[in-house]
Amino acid sequence: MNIEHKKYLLVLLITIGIFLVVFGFVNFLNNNKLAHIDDLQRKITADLIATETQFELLKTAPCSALGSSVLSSELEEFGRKLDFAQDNEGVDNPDVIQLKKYYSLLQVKDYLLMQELSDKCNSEIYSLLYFYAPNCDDCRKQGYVLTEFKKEYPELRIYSFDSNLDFSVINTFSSLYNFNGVYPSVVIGDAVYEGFMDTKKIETLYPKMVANKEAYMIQEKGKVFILESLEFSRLKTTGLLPKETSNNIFIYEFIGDDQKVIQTVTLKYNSETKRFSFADKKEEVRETKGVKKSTQ
Amino acid sequence: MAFMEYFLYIFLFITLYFQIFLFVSFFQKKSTDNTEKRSPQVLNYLSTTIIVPCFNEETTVSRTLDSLLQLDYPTDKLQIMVVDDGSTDATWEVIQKYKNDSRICLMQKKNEGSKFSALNFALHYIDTELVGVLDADSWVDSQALKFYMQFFSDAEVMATIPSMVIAEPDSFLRKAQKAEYDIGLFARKAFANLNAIYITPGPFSVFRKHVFDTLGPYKEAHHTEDAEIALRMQKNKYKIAYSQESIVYTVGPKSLKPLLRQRVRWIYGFLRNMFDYKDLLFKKEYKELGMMVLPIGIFRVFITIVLFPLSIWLIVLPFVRWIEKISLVGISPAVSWNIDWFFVNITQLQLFSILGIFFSFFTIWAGRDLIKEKRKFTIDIFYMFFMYTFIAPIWLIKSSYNAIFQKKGTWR
Repeated sequence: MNIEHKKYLLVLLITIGIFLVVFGFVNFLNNNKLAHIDDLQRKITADLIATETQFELLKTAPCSALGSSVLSSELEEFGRKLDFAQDNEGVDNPDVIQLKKYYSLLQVKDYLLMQELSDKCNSEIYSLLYFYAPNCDDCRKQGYVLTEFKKEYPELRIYSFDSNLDFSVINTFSSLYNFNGVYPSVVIGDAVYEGFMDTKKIETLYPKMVANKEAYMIQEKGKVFILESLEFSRLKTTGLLPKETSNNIFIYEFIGDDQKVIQTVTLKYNSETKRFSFADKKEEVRETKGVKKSTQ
Repeated sequence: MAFMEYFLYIFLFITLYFQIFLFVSFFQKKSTDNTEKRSPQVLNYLSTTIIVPCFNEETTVSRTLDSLLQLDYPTDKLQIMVVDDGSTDATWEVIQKYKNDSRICLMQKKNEGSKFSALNFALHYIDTELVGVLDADSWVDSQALKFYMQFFSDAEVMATIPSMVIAEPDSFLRKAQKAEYDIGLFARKAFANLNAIYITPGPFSVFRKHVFDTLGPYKEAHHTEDAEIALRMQKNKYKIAYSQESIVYTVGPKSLKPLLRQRVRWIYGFLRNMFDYKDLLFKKEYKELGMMVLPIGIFRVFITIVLFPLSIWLIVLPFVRWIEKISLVGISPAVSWNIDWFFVNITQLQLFSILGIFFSFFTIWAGRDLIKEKRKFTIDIFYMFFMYTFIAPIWLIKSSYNAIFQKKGTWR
């Protein structure tokens, strides 16, 4: 071999070396990420079994002993990271597929657990099942809408299932509903909604949740209204808490240093003008003076 | 998309291979260099004629001629032939002030639409051992010609080319070109080590008269006579040397339109000349020039044409998705500053880009080291990156389109 051929070969080896290092490094990072997701999956599985066991143990116990919102955020994180890994690794990566199956399984379990909880304890739990297929434009859009919707209503539990995942649990689960294989499809309660839905449409399907949220927003505005009004500006207090809400009447309590209620305020909300007014203004003012005297 | 990715990696592999090949060549000691460099005191000063073709160069020609007159070279060995190629401005009047200088000979001819005719017009009258060319928008360092004699002391060297530097860059594009030319010096040195120089540029290439006596005069060569003569020399195994210490300053196009015109002419000329000289390609007897340098030169033009739409698509696609998203759900005001490192993505392409940037910085350092410039890393490097990302694809696409459909641009 003459010197020129040696040079071509040497350069080839260096180039291959650089390629191997670059691809190896990225592969190493991605594997680390998958391992991280795997850890997350184990943790969620453990938590889920714990909740289930707790549930079994406390069959007769009061509902307040059961935590409900612990899993939700972890499951959500799992989902987001899995989504990200799928974008990088490709849909065909066997590790990703395996993790997605786990994810679906955990979701179904969480869903069933929450159903049971809601039946037993009579607590309101909002959930939504979302079935999608890869490479479907409307599914991508539906994904955007649902992600935003979840930000708006964090109490809503969204469970998403990839229909292409060949997994008996999903198949069984989807066969429970009257489901025609149209994607995207959304299942709320027992009703199946086929095709893309925008935020407004989904909101109409959760009237109670939306109303609660609206009431909550008004309640928060009322708080600002009270704190900004002059009467209470010199009140020594550690907090203002909403107490009761009914029919455009909002009742708040000022809490003092000793955690005791030092004053109650009642607001009236006019839903047409969207303005607040003090419900019993004269009495409140008099009472305020009294409180000030006593605290001074 | 996956298919495109493989395509991309194959391109990247070839590009990286060539880049490393250039690196190795740059540091490789020239194997065919059998002559000891002589010190300037004992050099044989060969008689030289420099042709200065000008076409409407009234503003720059004086500087060009003054620099030639100031060359540190024996007066009786230097002749300067100024050819006014039918200028329509005051060039002819401007150069009249040199008519009494014994070294300068003024000539005037009718314009025939391309530079080669002006050069050949002057070649008729030349009987010195060396013949050089200096475009009227360039000027030389006073030592430039002297340094050439070290190379011409090797009887095999038939031509020598200088280090070209952009003079006094005063606009964005000129600064970008400055960095580009400095990187070019790195490649020029590597090519010189491989005996694979395939262009003898208009600013101050000097040939033995023997070249024209044996190979014939300049040809029209798609308005790139300086590339054609070099290829003709390579085909006949004439050696072309690179004198890195000989510095010639040239003025790059100031604004976009003339720059595009210049580059389209260059690339178009290169591609057409490559077609004319396809015998050189992939021939073992032409060694690195035929096996690597010229094929990669062509490859580089076409890689950009393929990669440019691809990279545009890669930039545009997330943008399209983003628009689609905000049209559905609006812009969400809540921005989370909680960075989870999990979501920081490192891809092969990013690593290769970093590698590419590193290579570019190294080549510019090496190029500037050749001309002993002290300030190695300046802001113009970023201008060059900008020019190569957004402007170069335009001239590459246009010139290849012209080359394929045989559309000729204009010379100026």
